[in-house]
Amino acid sequence: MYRRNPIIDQILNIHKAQAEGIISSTSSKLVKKAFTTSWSQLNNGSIDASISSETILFNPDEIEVTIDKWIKDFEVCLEAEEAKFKRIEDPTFSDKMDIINLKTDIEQHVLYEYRDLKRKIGIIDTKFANVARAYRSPLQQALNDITMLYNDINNIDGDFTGFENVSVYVHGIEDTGKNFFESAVEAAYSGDIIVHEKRNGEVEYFVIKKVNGKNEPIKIRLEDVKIHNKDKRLHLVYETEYKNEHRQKTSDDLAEKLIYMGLLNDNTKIDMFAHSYGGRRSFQFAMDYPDHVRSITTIGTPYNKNFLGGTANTFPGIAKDFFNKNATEYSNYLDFNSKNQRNDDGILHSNVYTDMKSEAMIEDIEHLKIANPEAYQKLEEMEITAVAGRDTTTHKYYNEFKGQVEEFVVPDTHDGAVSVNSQHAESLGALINNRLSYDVKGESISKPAHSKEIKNTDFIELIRQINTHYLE
Amino acid sequence: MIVASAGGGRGSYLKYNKKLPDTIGKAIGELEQIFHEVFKQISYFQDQLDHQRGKAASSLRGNLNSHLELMGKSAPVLLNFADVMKSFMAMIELTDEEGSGFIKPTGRAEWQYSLSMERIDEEIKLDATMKEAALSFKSNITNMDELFSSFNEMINLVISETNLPWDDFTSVWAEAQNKVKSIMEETKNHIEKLLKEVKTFVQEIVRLDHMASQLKAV
Repeated sequence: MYRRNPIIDQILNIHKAQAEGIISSTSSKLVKKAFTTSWSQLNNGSIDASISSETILFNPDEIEVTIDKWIKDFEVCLEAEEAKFKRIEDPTFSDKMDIINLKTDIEQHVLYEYRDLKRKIGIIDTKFANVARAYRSPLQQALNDITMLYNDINNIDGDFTGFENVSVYVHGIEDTGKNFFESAVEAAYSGDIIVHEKRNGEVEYFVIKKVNGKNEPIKIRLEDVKIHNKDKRLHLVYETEYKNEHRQKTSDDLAEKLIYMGLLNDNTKIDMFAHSYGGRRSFQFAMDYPDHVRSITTIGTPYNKNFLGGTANTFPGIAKDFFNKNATEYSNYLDFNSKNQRNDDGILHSNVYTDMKSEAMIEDIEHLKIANPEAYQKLEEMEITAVAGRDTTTHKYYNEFKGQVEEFVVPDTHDGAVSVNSQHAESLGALINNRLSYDVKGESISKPAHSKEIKNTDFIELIRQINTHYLE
Repeated sequence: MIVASAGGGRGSYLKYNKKLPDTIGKAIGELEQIFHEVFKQISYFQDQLDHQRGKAASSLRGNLNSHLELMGKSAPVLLNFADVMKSFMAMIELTDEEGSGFIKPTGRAEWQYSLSMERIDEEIKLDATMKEAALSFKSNITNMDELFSSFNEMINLVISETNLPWDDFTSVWAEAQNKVKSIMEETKNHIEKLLKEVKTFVQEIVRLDHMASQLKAV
């Protein structure tokens, strides 16, 4: 029967005393459990440490450094014992067995357990980090509210305060604001200002001028905007910080941006235009700030659970390799709703793909109805238009049986990514005031009608009409 | 390490006082009580003023309305912030106890609804005299001081008793504290101005009452 070399227990006893010190100074139940279970696996008696201090002090880096030292202690010990063994001129069978057993015990037992302990400490760190991630958004919202009130009381204006009619354009999944910028230019009026907020933090300012009957965006400086006629409309083409960020993250960031610009006030009314998942982002913003949003107009928005989005969430590897979709993209946001989360290596987070695998947004709207009927009523009063793009692409193909070229017309029940029913937000019933359908032609499977919707002439005309309607 | 602890906290360690959720919870209770008391006094005074005519009463009524509007805006904002902090702190403790799920804050939509002017009007019962109303209104100033000091102490405690290394939470607490200080000071100034008007108004009512009783006697 194997008897542990006493040197192992001697070292383990020293480490145990240090471990008890770590547990006491950390005063964390999770840390105590990690050490206790590891020590029971090490067959070195039980850990006896109190966690009665009222303050948790958890320093994972420091604990890891200590465990690394312990690992080093055993590696040095093993080297020394092996060197000692090599110096024996004629080792007996027992000498040989002793060194083999020592090596096995240290490498396959003790060091394995220490590395596992490091892993457990990493998991604890991740668990606490998940908590911080979950409360980041509500804290940002709460701080945004404090800032709004602070600005209101202290009459603090932003550079854009005074614009009463503002259009905000929000793009969809895996996208940028480029297409919306072009459509916003087309749908704007001479003298309107366009602000293009890019993902990299760069902001560009333009004034619209009619040149040969066509709208041209002329680049200007922020200083020029400040003195510009604020009776005109301001267009904000907003690019999300992370391209696949969850709608709540967009709403929080957009609010922060608009507060900074001086546009979340009693006098400014916002008309939102959105494509694809941008519709959910806009809806979230409207739910969060119903006093400030006047209308929402969406096209190609998956209001309901989306098959493609949900599938990409379930099979992110395939989505990435074959369709270049980043279903695991992380944006440091975590939804409280467990149905709206991903777990990637213990890191819990939420993004557009988690949001589309269930009816999370519909549930959020239902919750608002109960939590704040007044806010819900404001949603009801908002002019909401849900436009459905219908793919009417005609594909030509060669029918081998008939020996002739035939045509295949895509059924106009979807836009290549989202069903007409979902785009029309049928599940939101009377909350939607207008349900329109536009025929949109795609190019191929990789460029379906869905990707062409922002530049659709009917949609641009609709934006133009809404922009004009509220100016009158 | 799975998650690099490289946020805005001091170093890469978590510091957390296990008593924080209880302490913040108590502070929220006090804040709610003080806000309710202030709302009650303002609504009460408003109601009494509704029976009075004249320029002074009308001007005072207008100022009270704007004050109530300001309080109606600040109460849900401050309570929501405190409530999110409480849930956050409580969740750290629950995580250490291997709890699952998340402790959801009450929610800003809920706070906005429960502390909206309409709800306050519905819930406050009025039952005193004009003089009592004026007297109780004076205590608003003291209440505002208490309210600010409760909020301030609560944030100070969170700043001194926590270090959250995953994000720059320290800046969030500090920014909130500075802005709330300004909001409170502005609210206090507002009430001080109102108090002066109330004093003049009550003196006028007392003088008129006195004149009326003398006329009756004649």
